[in-house]
Amino acid sequence: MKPIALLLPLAFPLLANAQTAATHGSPSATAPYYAVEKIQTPPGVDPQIGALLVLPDQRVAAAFHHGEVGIYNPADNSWKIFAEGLHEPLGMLAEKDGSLLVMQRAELTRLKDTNLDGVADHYETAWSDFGLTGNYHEFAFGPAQAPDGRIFVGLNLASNGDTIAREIRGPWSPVGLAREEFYGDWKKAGPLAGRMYSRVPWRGWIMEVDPKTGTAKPFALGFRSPDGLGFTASGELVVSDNQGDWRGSSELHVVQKNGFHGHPASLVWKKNWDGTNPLDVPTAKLESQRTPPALWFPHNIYANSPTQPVTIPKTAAWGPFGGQTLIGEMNSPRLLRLLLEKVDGVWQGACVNLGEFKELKLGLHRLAFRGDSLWVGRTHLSWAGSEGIATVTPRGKLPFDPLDIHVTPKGFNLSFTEPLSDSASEIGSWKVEHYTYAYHSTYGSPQLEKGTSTPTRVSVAPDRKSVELEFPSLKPHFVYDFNLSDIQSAAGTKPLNPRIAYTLHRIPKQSPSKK
Amino acid sequence: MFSPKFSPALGRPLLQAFSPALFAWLCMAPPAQSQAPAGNKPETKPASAKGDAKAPVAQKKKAAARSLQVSMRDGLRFDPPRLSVAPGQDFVLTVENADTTHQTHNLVLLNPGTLQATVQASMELGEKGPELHFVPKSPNVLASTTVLGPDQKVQLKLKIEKPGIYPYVCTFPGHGMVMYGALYVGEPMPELSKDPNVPSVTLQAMTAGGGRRPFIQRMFMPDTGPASIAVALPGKQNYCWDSVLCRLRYSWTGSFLDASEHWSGNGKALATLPEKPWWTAPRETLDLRFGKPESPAPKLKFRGYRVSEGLPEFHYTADGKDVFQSVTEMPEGAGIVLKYRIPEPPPMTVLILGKNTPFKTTSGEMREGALRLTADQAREFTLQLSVPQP
Repeated sequence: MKPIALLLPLAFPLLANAQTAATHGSPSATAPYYAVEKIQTPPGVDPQIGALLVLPDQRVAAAFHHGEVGIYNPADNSWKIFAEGLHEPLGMLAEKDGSLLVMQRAELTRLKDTNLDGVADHYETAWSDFGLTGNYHEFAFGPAQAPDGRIFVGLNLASNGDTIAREIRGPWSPVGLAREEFYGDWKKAGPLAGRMYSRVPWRGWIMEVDPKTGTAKPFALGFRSPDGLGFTASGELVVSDNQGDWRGSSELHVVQKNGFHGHPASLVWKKNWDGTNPLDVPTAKLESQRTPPALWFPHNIYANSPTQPVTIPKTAAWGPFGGQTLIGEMNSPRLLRLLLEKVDGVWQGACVNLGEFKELKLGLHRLAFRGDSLWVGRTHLSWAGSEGIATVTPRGKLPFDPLDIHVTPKGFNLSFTEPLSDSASEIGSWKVEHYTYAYHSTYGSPQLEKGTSTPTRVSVAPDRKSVELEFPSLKPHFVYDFNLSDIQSAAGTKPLNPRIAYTLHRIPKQSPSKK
Repeated sequence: MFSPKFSPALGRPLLQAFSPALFAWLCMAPPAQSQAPAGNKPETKPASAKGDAKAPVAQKKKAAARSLQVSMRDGLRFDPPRLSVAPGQDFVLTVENADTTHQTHNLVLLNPGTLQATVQASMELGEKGPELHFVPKSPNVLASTTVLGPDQKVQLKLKIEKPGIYPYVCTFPGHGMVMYGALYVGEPMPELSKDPNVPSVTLQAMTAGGGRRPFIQRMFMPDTGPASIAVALPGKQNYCWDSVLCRLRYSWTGSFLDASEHWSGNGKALATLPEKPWWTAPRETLDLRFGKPESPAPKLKFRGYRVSEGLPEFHYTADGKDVFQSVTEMPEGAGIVLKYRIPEPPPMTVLILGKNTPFKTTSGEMREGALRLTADQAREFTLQLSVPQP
């Protein structure tokens, strides 16, 4: 195979034209509400972004595909390269003393500037007690920091898109395909390894790391490709995972301590595991033990590859969206709001677009708020995506859109950013589809048991900003996908984002007390 | 993110609009192993009626048809990125998904100058995308395949009368901005590296660090563990240091790591060494023992490195004792010098070097392939390794 360098200068004129076409040809519908600005990345640095972090002094640190960490000073638009030579850094945190904790393939590394010249001179291993087989899909994600200071990372499974290296790090699990088979005819052996596999510790796990002692505790398992780790405003650890085997569509998980989040490969590292190949465990048994995703991102409608969750700041510019969780997406120029609630001890909720930002292109991988501005770092790593950094800033007026949604004993309470028009009280204005996804070893799932839900009762609140919808029946583990294209505000505007999909697991017996 | 894909249907050619200048029809069904994910109903017809109707014609004419091939490969690219055919020439274009990362792709052949608009239109298909195989309905689409899964292959029989540069592109979501090529019909081809109609495939090597020296880079590289670190010394020597075995693995002269394939893909390809190493550590060479050569191997733990003037000093612990190790270059690149520091050594430290070792030692006692150092000697010592003379 010949080496190919993607996106070298010759490609630029074409891409530039494409972008111009996108922005000038048909302006993004988000343009009246949000300004998108490009941030120049440092010259000579591959601009695929693995991590973005707003530092306490309000400069912005970015980690790049080739292993650089650069620090951008928005005061004079300058970049300073702080560190180099890391291996696919995909997450970053600042420590109190000014050092940075960066997750790269092989370890969590503390970058320290001991001589205070603005460049890291100590690359200290903060945690490396996990396995590496050399398989390309063993990415390492996080670190994400809880409000109480605890730090979490996520370790990707290996993919049978390739075998493993001769030399590995960490103990090898004997459960599954024999190691020598990994060095034979991979086309034959690969399918027997499992679509995604965990043969070194803690692949498919979320780990709680103590970077001071260099130790970690296993926290939760059952993950496939947990690219996005973050915390909600209420302090819940949320992790996105990609459509694939055991992932009918992409998912958001509210991570439960010791919870099994559905992908079986990581079970081999569970304490006292009996040595059964996870591929041989009956699906019904796995299903009975799993923590279901808090929500599905319906594939090809909402997100195909969701990324990093962050919390929208509670500021005037973000208005009622403040405190909600925002997430990026790789395969479309989309940012989505996540509306989560806990019902009978189970997390569930909805996703709705913040908008389809054509100017952002694709690959919206890393998100960080700096004041009111959302910084977006893009990547592709040869999959769908793009590259570079841009900011999204509210212009001051938010669109008419669904604001929040809660399940009720007989349906849903859906609130809006503005009062609704009279037509909202007509049953015919409400179009809702329901469907579910299979839990199986096959890659992805079509929408199953699809049907239409017609409300039996629609009741608009006195302030006209919310509506109670009752349905003849609700089914657990179904997505209720609302199409609000017939809904208008009292001012006659249609929602900027007319789709909202609620993943229902539990139906409350009583209406929650009104806030 | 990572490994998004969707394979909604079988790998069958999907015929789109016809241009007066072009005739495309189905020639061959895909291989039998093509399979849609369970429960996924292919929503497109196997092939258009037009396509089926023309198949017999294709067979009658097959003697005259030219055969062209294009493969979808890792890193979102078509191989080759350019094809050439004469105007009015019948040809069969075989399209194969050879992407080993399990990604799905299509191929859409377009009228000249319509690449960007088509990619944009495909991005706006939204949820209609899968049933259309992500091919926008447009008179500029001359022919297209369905979405092809791994190892699926289809053939398109084509003829283009009008000279021009016809783009082919993968409109699977997210691919179109980088995954395209150009079919030259009766037009001269410029030098590949200067062709604005293809993504850059100048095969320009990406040397880690861009050729700057000294430079430190962590990457997957050959013949070492997966957590290794490569260092370009300031002159012309380079070395690989393994953070699992905590020792030097090999050294080579000349350019630093070529990371082109590793970086242009998703990390599957190893970096390559432009030159064969002039020294590779035999098994156990440079292993450390405390006490005697027969003492059990100490438990090693990599602690990181400090950088001074661009060069690292590696730090690890062996049974809890701090060990520091750095490498410098001999004058005129004649070899390398390994420097060890063990601030609090035990009474006796042993470094396994093997019999007939090429290492030159400056302190300690070399006996039976092992360098034995007293506590005083072990606090700081060096080993020299010269490039063998031909």
